[in-house]
Amino acid sequence: MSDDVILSVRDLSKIYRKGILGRKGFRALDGVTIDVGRGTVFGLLGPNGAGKTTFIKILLGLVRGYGGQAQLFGRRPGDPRSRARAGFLPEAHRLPGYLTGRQCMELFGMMAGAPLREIRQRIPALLERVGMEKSADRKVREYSKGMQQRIGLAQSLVHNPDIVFLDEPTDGVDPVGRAAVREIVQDLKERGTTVFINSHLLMEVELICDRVVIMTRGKILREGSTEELTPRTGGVRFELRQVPENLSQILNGVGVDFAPEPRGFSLKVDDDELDQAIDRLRAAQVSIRAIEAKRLSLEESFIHLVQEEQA
Amino acid sequence: MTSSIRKALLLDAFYQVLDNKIFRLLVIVISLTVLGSFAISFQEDMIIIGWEEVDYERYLGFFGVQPGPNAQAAAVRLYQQSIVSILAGLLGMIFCISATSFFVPRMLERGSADISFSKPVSRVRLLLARYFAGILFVTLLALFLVGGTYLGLTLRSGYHDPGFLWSGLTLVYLFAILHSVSTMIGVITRSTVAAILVTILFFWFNGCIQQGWITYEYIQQKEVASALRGVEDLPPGLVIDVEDGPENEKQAEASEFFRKLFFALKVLHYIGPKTTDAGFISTKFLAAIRTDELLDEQGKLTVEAVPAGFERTSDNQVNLAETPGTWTYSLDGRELGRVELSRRSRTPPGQERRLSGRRAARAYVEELAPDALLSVPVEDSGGVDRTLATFLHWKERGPEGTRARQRVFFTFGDWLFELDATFDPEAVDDTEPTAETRAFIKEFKFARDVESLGQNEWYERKLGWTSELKFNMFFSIGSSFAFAVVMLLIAWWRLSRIDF
Repeated sequence: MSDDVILSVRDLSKIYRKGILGRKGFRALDGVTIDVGRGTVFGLLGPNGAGKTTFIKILLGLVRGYGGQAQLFGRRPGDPRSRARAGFLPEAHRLPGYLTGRQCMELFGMMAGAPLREIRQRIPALLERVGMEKSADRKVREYSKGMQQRIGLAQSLVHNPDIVFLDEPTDGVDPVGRAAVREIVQDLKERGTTVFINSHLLMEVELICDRVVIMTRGKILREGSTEELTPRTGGVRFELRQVPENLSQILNGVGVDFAPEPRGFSLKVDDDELDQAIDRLRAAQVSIRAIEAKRLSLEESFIHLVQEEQA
Repeated sequence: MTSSIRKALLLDAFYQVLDNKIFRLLVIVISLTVLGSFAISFQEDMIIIGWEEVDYERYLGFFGVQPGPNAQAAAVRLYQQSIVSILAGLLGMIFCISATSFFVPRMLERGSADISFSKPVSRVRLLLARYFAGILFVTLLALFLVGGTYLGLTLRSGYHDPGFLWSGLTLVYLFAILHSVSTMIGVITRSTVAAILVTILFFWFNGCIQQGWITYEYIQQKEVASALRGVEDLPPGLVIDVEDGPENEKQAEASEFFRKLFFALKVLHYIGPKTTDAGFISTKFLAAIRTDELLDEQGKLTVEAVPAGFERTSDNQVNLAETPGTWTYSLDGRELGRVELSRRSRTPPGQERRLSGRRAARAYVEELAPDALLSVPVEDSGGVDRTLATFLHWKERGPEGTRARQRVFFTFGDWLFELDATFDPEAVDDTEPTAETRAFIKEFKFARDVESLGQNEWYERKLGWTSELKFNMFFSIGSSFAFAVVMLLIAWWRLSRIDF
């Protein structure tokens, strides 16, 4: 494992046994192999039951009895030294209702091994980042779901971890909160913190993540950068200053699948046809404001892959 | 484990306890109880509740508290026992079990466990943190209850009994055992309701087992003692032949059933925690750290304590038949009296009839020189550790002037004990002329055999730090802690296998 790879799993598998003799079982992971480098924002996508949460829990020592190899910071999963460097926001987490938001951050930060003095220095900025500075001294049981999610996120960052696992971080959070989460993740990335995100909200993953793994039924379907997972469709979108009435005539015979749009049009073209389309528009004195190559969205790519696998 | 983690676990326990509604409710109940000990004043001759004066006989006579020099101590002990045994030891324990049984199941709930167990703290430490949070819960309450009551009784009633403070430790000890069961059930079932129900059921069932075993042992030892006395009376060489027959076969079957039942009872007793012994721990601890005032091993008499003002001038381990135990009584630095305790055979040389305390007292009166007497000796009766005692009191002229004399005669086994007290008349209350000697003999205890004691008293006396294994306090406490450790080990074993 190179120095830059901080999370490495090889042929990881996990079966949840059932019954007295453990003969029945459910295979949650099946030969997963992933390397995650320092400072990467890594997205883990998959339908329900794909094994995403199990994967994270194995790395944090919450799930035991797995097959294959797994290492976090070069140590076995669950090693206290590697867990001390990790932050975790679980899905549907439940913070202790008897604590205030501030106490949660203090206690969980201390449980991660950070000195209280340092934690107290970090808390005001973190509270501000998650928009909880005014409610920090209320009991957690009085919080709404979104507020609990924000404090949960803050507690996962309070000890300044080197890797953060965020399982559905925007669950229950309003759009403004989601934007804040995106900003926090971006900020973490800039500081060199590795972020590992499980999310159903593919738009967000697409916006935030550098690398993405798509899983289903415990297996990896595809791994790559967001660009690699959102290939060009061959289509191009033109945005025009003013859409002429004879647009279809101007472009007659250039490319296929012409589709007018309110502020322009889209067209499937190769490189030569693209030049031709630009020349014709300019010749007709049509002012072009933007040209954009059309890509599959992550969501489209994900649905396509999963459906293909299920078929 | 870093100091930050230790501090976090401790703080978490504090926050959890202080936020607990039942804890707050119990604090209110205990506050009222403590206030009660400040509101009630146990005096020597009456109880003052607020402004109201009530007499002992009318209100506490039913509980065996009679007016006299020991009334205050008896009433305070009854009050303390009611608080520790009934309020805290039974009701309080059930409340505390109910209030703390959710600690572990809630920690293991999905969502909650994910955060806690992802931190660099081992599972066993998190489990123990929750276990000790429960212990902290009860320790705080016990400190408040016992400390507050002690303070109230000391300030309001002027009754000072440091031994009572040990009962706080007893409550924590009892709860530590029960909480281990609750923790184990909490881990296995992850259900608060199951943890509460099983723990309370266990508390009750185990109490029945332990009490059943004590009863069984008591009856066994009583029968053995009775049989031994019978054998002693039989002519030597006599053999009792038991005939075979249907009746005897039925009896044999029944006895086989009971033999198995008692065997199961014994096994459960030895395995289980000795929760019924918890009540005796404080007195045993106190006795262990306190040196008895005087011990006469041959006469089977222990003087556990003497009233304030008396100072022993003899050794504390004596053979009273050879050397008397002696004390002086002083007040404000002035010696105002002396006490001498001696023992002799109840069968004087040349006589066949054994002396009773009364006969010995009357014989003593006959031997007194009449010309020295300033008043006629007056006979009175009383008791020493449930043995009849005869008291004499009179005044006489001596070389140091007029002296108030008191003499007590009592017997135990083959021995006649005599307590001879000489006081300066100003040290004696004329309205109660034997009060000093009655108070002096209050803490006298005889090493009685099983036949003359009730079950609980017999068991309390049997329990000891040097007793045989089944009555040994080290074994009782050690096996109870071992049980708690086994419960926690099972909990840890299960917890280490949970996939969250």
